[in-house]
Amino acid sequence: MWTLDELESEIDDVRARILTHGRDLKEYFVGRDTEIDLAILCAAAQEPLLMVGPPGTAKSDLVVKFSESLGLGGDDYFEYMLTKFTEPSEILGPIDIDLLKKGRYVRRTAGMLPTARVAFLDEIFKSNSAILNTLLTILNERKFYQDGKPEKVNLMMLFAATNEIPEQTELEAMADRFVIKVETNPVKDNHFAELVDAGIMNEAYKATGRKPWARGSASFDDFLKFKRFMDLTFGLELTPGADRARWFPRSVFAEMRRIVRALETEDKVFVSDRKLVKLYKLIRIRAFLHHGGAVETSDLELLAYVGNHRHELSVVSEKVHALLGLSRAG
Amino acid sequence: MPAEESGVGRFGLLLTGDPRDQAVVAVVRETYPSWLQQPWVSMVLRTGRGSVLSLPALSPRAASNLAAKGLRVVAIERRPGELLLQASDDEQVTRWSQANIAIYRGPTLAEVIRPWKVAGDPPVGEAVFVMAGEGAGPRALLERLLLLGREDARIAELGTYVGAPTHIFIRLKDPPLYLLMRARDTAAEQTRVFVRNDNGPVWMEWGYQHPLAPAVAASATAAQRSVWIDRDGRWQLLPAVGQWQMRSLFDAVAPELDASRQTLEMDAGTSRFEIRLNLSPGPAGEAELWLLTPEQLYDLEAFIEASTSEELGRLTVARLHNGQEVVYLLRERVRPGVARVAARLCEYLGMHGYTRVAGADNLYLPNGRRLVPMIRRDDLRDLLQLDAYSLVILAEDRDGPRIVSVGEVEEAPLLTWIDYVATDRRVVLDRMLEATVFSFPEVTIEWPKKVTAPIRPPSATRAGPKRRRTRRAQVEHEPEQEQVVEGDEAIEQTPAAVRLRQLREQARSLETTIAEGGVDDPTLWGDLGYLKRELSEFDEAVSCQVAEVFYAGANRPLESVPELLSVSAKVLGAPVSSERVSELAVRDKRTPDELVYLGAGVLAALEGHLAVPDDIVQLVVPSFADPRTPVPRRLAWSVLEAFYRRSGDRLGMTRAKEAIVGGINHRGLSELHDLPRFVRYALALADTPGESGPRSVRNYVTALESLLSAVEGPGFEELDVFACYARLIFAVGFMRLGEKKTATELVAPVEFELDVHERPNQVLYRLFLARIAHEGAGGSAQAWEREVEKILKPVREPRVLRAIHWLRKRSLWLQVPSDLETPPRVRSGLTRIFERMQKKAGDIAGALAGVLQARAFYDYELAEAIAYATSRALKSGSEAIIRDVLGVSLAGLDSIEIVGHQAEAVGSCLRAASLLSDEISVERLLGRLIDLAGSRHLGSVRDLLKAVHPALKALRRFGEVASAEQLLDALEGVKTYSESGDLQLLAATAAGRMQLGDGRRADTLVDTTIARVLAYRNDYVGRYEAAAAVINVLRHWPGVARHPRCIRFVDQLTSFRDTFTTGRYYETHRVLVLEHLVDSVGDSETRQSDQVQAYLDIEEHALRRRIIADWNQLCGR
Repeated sequence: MWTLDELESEIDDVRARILTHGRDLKEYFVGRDTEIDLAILCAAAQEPLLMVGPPGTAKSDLVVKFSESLGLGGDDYFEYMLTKFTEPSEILGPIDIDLLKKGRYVRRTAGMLPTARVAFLDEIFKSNSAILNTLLTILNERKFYQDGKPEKVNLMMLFAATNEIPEQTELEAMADRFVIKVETNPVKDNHFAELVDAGIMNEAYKATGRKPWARGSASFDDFLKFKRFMDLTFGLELTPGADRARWFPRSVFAEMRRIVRALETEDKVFVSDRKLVKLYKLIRIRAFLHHGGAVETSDLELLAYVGNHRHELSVVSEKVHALLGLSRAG
Repeated sequence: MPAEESGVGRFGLLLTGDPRDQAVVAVVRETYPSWLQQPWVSMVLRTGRGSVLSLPALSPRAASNLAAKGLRVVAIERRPGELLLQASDDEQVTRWSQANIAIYRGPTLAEVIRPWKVAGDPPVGEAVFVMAGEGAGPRALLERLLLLGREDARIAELGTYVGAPTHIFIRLKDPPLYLLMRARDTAAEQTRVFVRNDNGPVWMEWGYQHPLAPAVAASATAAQRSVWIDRDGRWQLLPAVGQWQMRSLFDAVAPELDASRQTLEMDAGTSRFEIRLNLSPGPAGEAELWLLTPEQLYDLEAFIEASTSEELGRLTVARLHNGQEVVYLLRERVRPGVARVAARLCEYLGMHGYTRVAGADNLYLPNGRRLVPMIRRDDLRDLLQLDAYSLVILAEDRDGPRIVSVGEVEEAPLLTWIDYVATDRRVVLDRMLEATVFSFPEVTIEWPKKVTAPIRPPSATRAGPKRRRTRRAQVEHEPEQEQVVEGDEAIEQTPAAVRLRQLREQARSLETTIAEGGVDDPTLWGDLGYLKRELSEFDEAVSCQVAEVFYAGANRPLESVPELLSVSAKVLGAPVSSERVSELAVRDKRTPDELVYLGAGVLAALEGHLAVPDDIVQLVVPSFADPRTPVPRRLAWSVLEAFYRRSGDRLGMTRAKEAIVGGINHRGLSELHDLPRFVRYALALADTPGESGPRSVRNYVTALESLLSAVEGPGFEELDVFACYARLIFAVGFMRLGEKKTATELVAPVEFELDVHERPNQVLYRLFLARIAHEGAGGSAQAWEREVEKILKPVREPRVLRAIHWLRKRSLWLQVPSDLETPPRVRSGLTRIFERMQKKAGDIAGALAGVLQARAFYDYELAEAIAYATSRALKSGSEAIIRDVLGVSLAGLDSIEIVGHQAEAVGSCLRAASLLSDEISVERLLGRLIDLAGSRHLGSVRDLLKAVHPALKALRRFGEVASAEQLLDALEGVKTYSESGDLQLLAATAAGRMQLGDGRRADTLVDTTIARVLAYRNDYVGRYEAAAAVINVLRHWPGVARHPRCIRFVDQLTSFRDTFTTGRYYETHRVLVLEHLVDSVGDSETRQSDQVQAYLDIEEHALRRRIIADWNQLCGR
């Protein structure tokens, strides 16, 4: 595993590569800059990202191209559309019958979610409780149970998509794990011609088997190095408040607090304690990724994606951008 | 302790700086109320939240008393540089450094006590942001408010606050939490936020709470002051907020825009832009003008045949040419109040025609199109050069708009173009034949005794399998038998003439047999077809050959289909060729004769007699399953059956069966396509026995004239209202029978004197006049509805409208028929279920069951649902579906409680049960209907008749004659609660008897009913209703039998009175009875239709049997 010393010397290059990687990827999509920025950020922070939107808004395409741009393939990438009839064996792997005869309950995980490093789960909230519970464990603890014993999973980046965010209590725990939720809306109204042009190019790429995006600027290792560097930085000074004092200016922190309180109080957007900590981490990572230093007010734009329910997403986004506009104006 | 510390007593109350202090204040107020208004001293620890309240009056005894009540009382000992506090229940001494103590004094407890901090960031109802006028605060806050769109903020400026000269107060309801926090967090802006939640006079700094705020609120309100308490407990008294001079947010803003300025001056514009005009869909009207090629002009023949000379007189034609080809300009001259022929003309021509553009006299656009974008009329006039031509037509083809300009045009009436009209219209020929047969005394022709050998083989031979060879041999040998005979006697002795006569005799004999109905022997039909061919009556030969092919089914002789094809080709005047069949197959529109040819061609192709490509056959076959296709049902089934039999497609066969049988169930057989012409003649001959007199349209006219004479008496009085109505009513009758001249003469005085009549009568006369024109034009129900709407539109006065509607809604001719396809009176929930039934036949029973079990619908809706479901099931043609629906309906009958509606539902069930030949159900339903008729809860006979009419119709139509008679027997015995009801029921049963062929019984019943009606005096309305019912059923009697019975009513016409308010304008019942009489006497169709329908009913059974048999043969059931 890399040490801080090793990483410090190349972290700026890693940052630059990741940012270039994101910019390159945007060339193959129309009007999806926000989604790509968030995907890059969540991949760098190894936090799951939930894309919410109607069918045909490039959710799946974005994740597939992103994973291909990292040079991932084969068992490293796992993609599945979940339904209420999906069984755990479909994503975790089938039970090994030979071992079962010997009294062991072991799954054959090759090529399935536990062995993948990047995963895309479509219609995640349509799955049943057995799948959801397993996913919760994987997301929280990065492990799953084989024959009663916890086993580490390789999953680094999880992307999920849904048409609707359900409001049932049993699904809220899963929804809360996705700190960042982004709406993917149709872009044809604003980018009619560009959309058609890009769509036709994609069709041509598909027909000819070409994947120009596969030559990404950053590698999967770059993302891992960045995450490792951030983890080491967070724990650099083992004093409470030290990271905040160094990287989060007091005025920006106060602004974050004001916005979160305004969202909670006026728009009834629940921000759990866990989510607040994750938000801090993500804002810090975003700041470092984009300008290599302390958090700026503009980094608080990430708060625009903290809505929990479908109807909240646009409200929160609008509100956060309005309040940040005040901050810049004042 | 310095001098200012004076006033500190020996004892003090320890406060914690949180909500617990509220209890301390409450105890003090309760125990020593006077202390609240005494001067107190508060010593506040700067480093913490604790404080001590001290009062000189706090004696040891009072301290002990308060301690006993749970308050933390401390003894205060002043030492240099420090203060010692010792609680009464604690030996430990607390030391406060003087340097850390802030001392506040006030004249009352409320003004001394410190506010405490509220946890979190509480939302508030109203806030006032207070800031110095000169600082950065106001600008920043105003900018934020504008960015947030909070234009509701109000601003005030007050001169004194905390010693500052001017302070800005910005007041905001429901302030954004962000702004509150921002004001608190940003010290540089020096903005304080005061809030209140209760509209009270006390404003606390945001985030703090004062324990005695409620106590001071009352006194502040009384003094019309507002109290402002900051976080340090400082008080400020200001005028009440309501008294402030507040300004709008925008009044306090001086906006600036850092931008360069550019000024534009007006310039007289001369630019012109090319805008392309196009034709786009627009409102469809009625065309006035058509451009025809010579071929299209000749296609007008069919229209001319079907139109009256008055209609043709309105059409003009001009012959134009463009140097290359000839174009005919056909125009309809529109006359106000006269029904248009444009719609019919468009249908005949298969083109939309052109409509005049409003505002341009000589510009015509394609009907249903408009010119876009709209431009000024003058521009349009210049663009299309409208002034230079007498007509400009903006036509349209695949290349886009095309301007057709017509210079000088000389139009001549279309009538001048007509020299000779040849027609093969059957109705006209029928009438000509009737006139020929019945207008002359019988002529007996004596034929010469010398005859050749019989041409037709004896019946025994006909039945043999070799029949076809025999017939062909005869036909081939005929020329050899011809002999050349000279002289006058030769005419009588010509073998060909003799043979023709024999053929006619043989044909007449077979026709008589077939006209009895239900003949399913293919040999008989084949023989008659052969005879018809020999007699060159090819159209009838086609009917016979179609029936032969149909009834012979798969076992038909090899030559039957080629013969059918050959004879249908002769009718069409076309050769037998696969090319012709293919050409017809892909054509958009086909005549019935062409369809018969096409069907015969497809049959021939399926049997290998004609080389038609398979894809052409597959293209054509589905159209024969459509019940709307104008082709004999027998031929349609033969084509479908042959097609699916060849491919062994059981599913296709089942669908075809359901389509054909469903079509028959729904529409019955067609009088035009399924009734051979000779059967019509045979029925007419059979219905004209010597003692009854001839039946022809002429006789109906005579009968009507006789009736008019009886009504008129010595002559109609001038200006008499009833006389006007009588003239108009008879004019309608005459116009129906084609006597236009008589009708015109009759109504001329009414038209002349129209203005002298009362306003309601004027409008009603106009409606009758329009009806006369409508009858003459043969317009549709929709056209009549539009006509009525047009006449009634200018009438505004409610009184007049009421009088008009009173008669119009009761009149047979003036009312607008409603659309019966979808029951209009059900609620939307049921309508949606009906739509579901319409879309999927398989769901009908399920949907009906849902309705009947839902308990959410009214009884009348349940009856409608059963009626609709039954109708859809019958239309589906599937016995399984009909059976399911019947089962559900029978089970659901009990859920209908109102007897009348239940009777209606029973009628629907009877239709289905008799179709399925479910004798048990029919019997039960009849029993039920009879029980309902006898029920004392029966609302009125009208409800019962709703069931009786469809039941009789269904029973007769589906051949259940015995059941129908049984029903009539039962109904004759029913006694309703009113004489009028009894009479209406009797009239219905009399009509039923007549239609079932029991003329004697019918005569007795109807005469009895008439006598009872005329003797019925008590109830004007009931008497009229009974009379109307009887007169209506008389139309089922032969014309000569109707007339004397109607005269009986005419004799008593004055006794049909009424007492309505409209009586000042007209006599409702007298007018209506006369209308019924004329309608009945002048009806030349119902009686004939009864005869024809009886034949078709029998035929329908035979068809259904054959189709089921064919289907069983392939599908193995």
